[in-house]
Amino acid sequence: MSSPERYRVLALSAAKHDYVPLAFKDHPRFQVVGVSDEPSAAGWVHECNEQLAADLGVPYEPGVDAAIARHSPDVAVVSSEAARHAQLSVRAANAGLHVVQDKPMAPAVADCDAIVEAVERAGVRFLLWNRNTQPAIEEARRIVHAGEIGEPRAIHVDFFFCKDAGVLLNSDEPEEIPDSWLSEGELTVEGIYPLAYMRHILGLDALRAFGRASAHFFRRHAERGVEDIATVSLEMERGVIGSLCSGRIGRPSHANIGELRVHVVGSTGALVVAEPRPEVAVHTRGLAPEDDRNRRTDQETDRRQVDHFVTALDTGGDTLLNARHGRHIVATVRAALESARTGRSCEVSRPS
Amino acid sequence: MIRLALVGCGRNAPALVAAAAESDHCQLAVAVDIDPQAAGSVARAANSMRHVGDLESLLASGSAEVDAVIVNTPNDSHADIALAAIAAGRHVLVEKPLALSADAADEVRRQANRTDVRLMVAHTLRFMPANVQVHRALAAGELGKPGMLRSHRWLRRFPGPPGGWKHDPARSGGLCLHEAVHEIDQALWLIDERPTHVHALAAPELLQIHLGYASGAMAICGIATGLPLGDGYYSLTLIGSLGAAYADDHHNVHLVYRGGRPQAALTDLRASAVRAQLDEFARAIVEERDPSVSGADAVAALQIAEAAAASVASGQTAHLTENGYVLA
Repeated sequence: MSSPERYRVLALSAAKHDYVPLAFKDHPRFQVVGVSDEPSAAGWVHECNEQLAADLGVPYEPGVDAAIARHSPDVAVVSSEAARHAQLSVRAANAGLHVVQDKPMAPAVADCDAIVEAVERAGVRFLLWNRNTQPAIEEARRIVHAGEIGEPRAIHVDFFFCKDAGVLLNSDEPEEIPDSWLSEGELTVEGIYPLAYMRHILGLDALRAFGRASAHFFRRHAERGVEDIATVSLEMERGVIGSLCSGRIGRPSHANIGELRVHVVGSTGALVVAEPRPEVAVHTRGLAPEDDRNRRTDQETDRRQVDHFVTALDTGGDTLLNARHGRHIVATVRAALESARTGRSCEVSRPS
Repeated sequence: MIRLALVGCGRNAPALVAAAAESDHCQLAVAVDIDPQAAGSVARAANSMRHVGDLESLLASGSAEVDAVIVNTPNDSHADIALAAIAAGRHVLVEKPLALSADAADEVRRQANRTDVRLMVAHTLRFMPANVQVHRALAAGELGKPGMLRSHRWLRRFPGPPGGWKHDPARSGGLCLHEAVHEIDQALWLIDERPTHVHALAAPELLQIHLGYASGAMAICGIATGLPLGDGYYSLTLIGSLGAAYADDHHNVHLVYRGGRPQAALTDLRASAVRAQLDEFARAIVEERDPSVSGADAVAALQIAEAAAASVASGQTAHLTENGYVLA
């Protein structure tokens, strides 16, 4: 069967972020045909969805089944609250739609298993949105795969976002973050990115994890019992050692977006890359403290990810981060957090 | 001016000779090595100071020509030489590790305390200029409460023949005692808390130590010893509740163009660290105070290094109990 000239995209919710559906907006091989969601979604979610529909210039139509029937989409882009990811992705796969989904894949491994089962049974492609097409990450992958540093022996990723999340611990100031703010923890939500780097650069999975995690900065994280920093040691396939440092470390803690780095040690050499580079520093009067001084020079990262996805659709090939890989990342995060709770290393679960 | 005997004229000796030559607080007086060629070479480099074949004779002679001894020999001789110097009433600066076990190190510490000599251990990372800045920022309260320490240290492959002492864990103590005591001491220095959890992983020429603390702080340190000959790499990130510090080569690299791909070049500040360390030792002697890196610090680092070695061997995590670290 020949590929369509343009794949039709239905955005299913934009509760957390809009960058995933917006990445498809102007791509010549995709046409966003609508935005939909469950009618029972929270009021603020409907407001987000309406805004996304306006930005995309398409209608917002609550009622997922009706929207699918009306628009006959090929692809669903799921960007809801994390707790509804699995429900929406499974529903889309069951309807025969390819799925692009925002992170985290799902809070629980069982939900990821349901997604894996649904997309594989339906024979559709699944892409878990990631940052693997950042130029520095692609360069690290190229160097490793070219054998320039020999056999990989260790990979270490730092993934520190210098964003705030309300007032600091032990502060008397009133909370800035509303009660409806639903952070599941930094490693839980953001861990996909550094773990996807590891997968992309080395092509290896983690087998066991030892983790430490704590709410070190922000009152809201402490109140919710979730981590804002975490460290993870990983025993990986082929005897490779991995480590991951992750955190939301506060705006004053870095000059730019944060310290996002990858270190790889091989048998004959080693490499260090910083994900935001290449970048340009722009300093002007009038910049607010929260404004970034450095700007990335590569503006095509999302475009390359979408290009890769369309190739997967056209050829039936694999996506940059498929459902099984995404499921393993969630299992690795869960093992690390379980380890942090028990003080002992934990095996990363495999699908039954 | 503190007069020093340098015992062990091997690979680190030139750095110590250079540091002593620039110091206003100490000077090298005697070079000691069982290899007369090595001792002679170092002696010539240090303005033709005297050189002898063994420390025992020097100390037994009751010579007043040295006030203190630098122990720069293979790891398995550190404790014995330090004890001999202490017994002779000489102050001692010992290369790390102080001994090949925490118990043996504690015996050296006890003897130094008993005889009131100054004992310092060369945990040189505390004197690296970049780390000094991080510690100052922390001590001034600029970073708030330490939350996460992340470090990488990549070294070129151990030089020398495969049969050399560094390649023999029975003589070097293995990576945990020979190298990781640096990172462990650094963590103790910066986080100022004894870790409750020690989990370590190893691969060929690699070691990773993961520390957890009752306060919620955490540290993860990687050491690689298999880089090709050339410069190493160092990186330290300390994240506190109010800010973060990044002290590493990746932020401070220069580029050199000679055709082909540009090459990274680093400003080597190790010499100033060795000099600062030597000066601190000499000043502690003159001021009759404990040096900033004490025998107790070295014992604490070795206890954690032993826990890390046990973690590597067993695959388990060492937990701090009333009886020290226990695998579980």
